Amino acid sequence: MKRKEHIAKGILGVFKQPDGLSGAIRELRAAGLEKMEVFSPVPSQEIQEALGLKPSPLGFATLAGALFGLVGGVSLAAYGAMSYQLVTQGKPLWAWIPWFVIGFECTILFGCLANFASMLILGGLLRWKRSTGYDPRFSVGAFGVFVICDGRELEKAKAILRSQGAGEIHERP
Amino acid sequence: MRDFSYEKVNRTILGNLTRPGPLYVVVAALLACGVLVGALCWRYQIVTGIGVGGQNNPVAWGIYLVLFVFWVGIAHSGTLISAILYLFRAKFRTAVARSAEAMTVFAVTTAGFFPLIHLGRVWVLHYMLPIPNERQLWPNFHSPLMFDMVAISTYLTVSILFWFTGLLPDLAAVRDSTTGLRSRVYGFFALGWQNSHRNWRHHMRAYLFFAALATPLVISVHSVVSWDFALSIIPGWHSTIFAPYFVAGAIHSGLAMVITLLIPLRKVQRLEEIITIDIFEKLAKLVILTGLIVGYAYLFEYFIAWYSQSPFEIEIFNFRATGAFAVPFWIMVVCNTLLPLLFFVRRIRRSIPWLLGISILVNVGMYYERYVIIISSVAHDFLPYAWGRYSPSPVEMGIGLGAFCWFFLLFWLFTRFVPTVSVAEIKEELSKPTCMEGL
Repeated sequence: MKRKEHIAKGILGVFKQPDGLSGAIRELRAAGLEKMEVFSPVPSQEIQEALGLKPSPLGFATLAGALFGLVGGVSLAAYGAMSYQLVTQGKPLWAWIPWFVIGFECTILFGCLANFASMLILGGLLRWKRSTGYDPRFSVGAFGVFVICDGRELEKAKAILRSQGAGEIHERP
Repeated sequence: MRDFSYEKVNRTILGNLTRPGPLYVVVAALLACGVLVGALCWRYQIVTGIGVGGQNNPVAWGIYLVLFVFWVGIAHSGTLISAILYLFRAKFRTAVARSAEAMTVFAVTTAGFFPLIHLGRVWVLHYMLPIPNERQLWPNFHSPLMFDMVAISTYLTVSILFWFTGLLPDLAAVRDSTTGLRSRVYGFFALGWQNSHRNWRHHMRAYLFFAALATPLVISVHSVVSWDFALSIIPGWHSTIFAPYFVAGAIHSGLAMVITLLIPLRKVQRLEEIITIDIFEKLAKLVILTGLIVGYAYLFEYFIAWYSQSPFEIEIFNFRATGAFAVPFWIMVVCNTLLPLLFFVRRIRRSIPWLLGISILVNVGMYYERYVIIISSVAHDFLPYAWGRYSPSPVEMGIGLGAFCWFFLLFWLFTRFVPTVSVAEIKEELSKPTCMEGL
């Protein structure tokens, strides 16, 4: 598929196995080359650890959405009941137990909406331009790392990628 | 599947997304005709009035509500497989989760039509929405019908989001393996997914939270559906066990529908190496469990009726087993509780014809369960002079046919346009990539 690319200078290393890739990431970071994008056909804990990434903070947004849903759902049901005070089904006007059914469903609904929205935002989705270095083989079985660098750093990165067993190395000048 | 390479996983699963053949088009056209029949029947009902259905005093809740509960029930095992089994790290779910989730989405969509159809005056749909009407009156949030409206719309939204989130890496894989318009369409729906560490890091977390949130939701939705009945005082409905009883029944029917759909799917798409007989065996064991819970609920309802010594409760349960509803009642008992016991025999639960036959019969049984519960109670409540009968009219049957065709049409389209098994999750199950062609 021809898609416009984000242009960045750097070097791409393509690997057969995630082990070599993780080793390369660690070596690159140790050499001070921190700006990189890693591509993998499967999620990998090993890669996340090599990159030194903490678990995604997305849960806070999910929690905020869920709490909003709980308060909003209960408030909606309470406001609906209080704005026209007619006794129905023999229940008191301030019948808070049924309100929590609405509150519970809204907790889940808004928690999930916030979860999805934060995945899109934090995960860098909704950008249809292709990153520099992305190769369609990364959705099949290849692993890759694109190191954003220039000049002498480029040679350093190339040496590290080669030493860690990269099957292919491509420069993006 | 252990000898699969990552490339073979892509080839096997994505290889099914080819140009439809004539047989595929003919089946789709037949199903579309069924949908058209249902749509025309609904149109006739809207133009003529709700009286063209068989519902009347005292049976005001007829086949539309039966089908509503039936389809909501079918929807349940999709979330069980995708969310609850995910949290329990049950690996056998991987091969069947995508199809089960699709089934959930399509079944909830189908179920969602029935409150509108049953409403009769569908143009006053906005009375069911959580907004004030033209007289500034809000809906009655104390009513289980409003609980139901909120629960079902939440379930539909969450099921679609959960399914779509799992689909993103696979849509990107289809985008990368195709060209031209197809690639652009799949690329649009892949939302710019690039298999980057940033994509995966937040995707995996989001998927886990979806599973955690969908688990209580799935329990709550059919509990809420059961309260449509249990919060009334009609004999046979007014029962405290209805919520767990309905949830177990929903999962029972959903699992049976998963087996019914997956057996032809694996054959047509040549997925025998991925959707193995071991997976069906595990699903059959779950059917035994849910069948036993449902059987226990059937027995306990009779015990409660006897123990209460309420003449109305005793009468309705005797009526169900020996009166006008005896045939559907005994179909329900045999199909839902006795036939699944055959799965205790290993040879039967590993036999494709037996699995298919029993799963279809369980669905027949679950349809009759809803028929018996909903219709018999209102047909035979407190006072003998108010008793009555019900039989569905041709219009109702046409709409029912349309609903079945709609569900199967959506699933049929899904098998051709969406990967039916999660490519990324199957790869995750493989320990390491075994080869990388062209590298």
